Amino acid sequence: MILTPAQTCGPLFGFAMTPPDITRTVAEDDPAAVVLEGMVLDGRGDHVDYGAFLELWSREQACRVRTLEGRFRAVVRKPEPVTLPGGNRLAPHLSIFLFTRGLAGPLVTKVYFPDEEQANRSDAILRQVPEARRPLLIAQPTGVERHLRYDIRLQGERESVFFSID
Amino acid sequence: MIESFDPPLADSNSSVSTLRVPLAAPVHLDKEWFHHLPGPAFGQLKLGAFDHDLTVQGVSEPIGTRVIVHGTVTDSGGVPVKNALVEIWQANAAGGYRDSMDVSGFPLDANFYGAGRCLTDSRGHYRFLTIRPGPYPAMFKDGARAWRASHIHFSVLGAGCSSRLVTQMYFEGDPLIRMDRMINAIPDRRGQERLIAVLDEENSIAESFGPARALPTVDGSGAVVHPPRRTDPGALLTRNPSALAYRFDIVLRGSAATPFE
Repeated sequence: MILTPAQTCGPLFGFAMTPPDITRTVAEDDPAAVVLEGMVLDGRGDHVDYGAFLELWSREQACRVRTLEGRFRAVVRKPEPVTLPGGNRLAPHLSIFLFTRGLAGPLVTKVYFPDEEQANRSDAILRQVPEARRPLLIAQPTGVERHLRYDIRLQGERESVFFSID
Repeated sequence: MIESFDPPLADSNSSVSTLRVPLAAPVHLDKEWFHHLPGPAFGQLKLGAFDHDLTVQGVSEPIGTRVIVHGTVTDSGGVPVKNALVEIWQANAAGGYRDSMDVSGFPLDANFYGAGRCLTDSRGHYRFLTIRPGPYPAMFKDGARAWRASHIHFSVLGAGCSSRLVTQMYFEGDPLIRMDRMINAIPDRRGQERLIAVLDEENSIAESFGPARALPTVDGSGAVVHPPRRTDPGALLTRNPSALAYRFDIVLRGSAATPFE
């Protein structure tokens, strides 16, 4: 069986891929809503031209957002922790798939929550990441309640942690 | 045996790849460590009855050769993937995109937006009605410009994110395919062929009648003929249903069984 190969999303997807009802999983005024904002930056520290689109997944929700003038903004529910069948515990987090021009396939990363220090410490995925790079996977508080900052750096000293799937 | 012919992540033909491809090795995770949703992805997305028909999104019909693009989404074991979200986006017949960032200057079609979506049915089948997109030149590495073959962008969300696919579909027999730098970034001919939709005569529709024209035409003497009142069979049609069908089957990585059982 030959799998269908991937191709880049190209530069012109914005008009099609983010209809309004896909960009949030919960109403912004819902008490459970968390606003996640950030930039997608290339190896020069510039935001990626023509933008990127990101999909954020957890077990009970999924949404897609794109960067506009360099910044994305996703409104999600903080997920529940998960215990995998083998007993591994995962702290609340979302998987992120990132697509942008110039890449033939998605980049896969995750975002964890800063107010879950204890759960993050015992998270089975974070423990596979070199300790010095673990903080790169955790969103930053902004000072505004339920608003978090999470930048994705494709390259550079603080290059984000990306994952491959078997 | 499952064979994968993805192009290198750093699409060597793009001018921006070198600043975008991560340099650190990825951390490998088993797919069980990714989330699966119990139902279709983006469950909050409301699909309209005509979201699969890109020819009825304007006030009248878009210009271009109408095409049915359809096929089956299966997992790597050949099992149909039902409830997969299939999305497409594309240029119009003149090679222009209805996107604020399209600087090509190619004409837009007031009746064509170029975006559609649908869910696969219980047999894993999807179907779109659209127009054949026009080819257009694009800029590649080092500022080189080259024509792209006609293509439709596809996004497929199957059973969980490990099978996530974004790709492009091409049309059988298009002579531009051999010089298209995107499809030729795929290292193996068998992989390229997976992306070429096959002309499907059996499912094509050929009808010689259509509705009365809304614009004046010209007769053999050069005189302008204003739209007549039609009494022939075509007058009863709201449009000529003719379309060339193309078959594009999609094979996703992994197994669809677990999350949907």
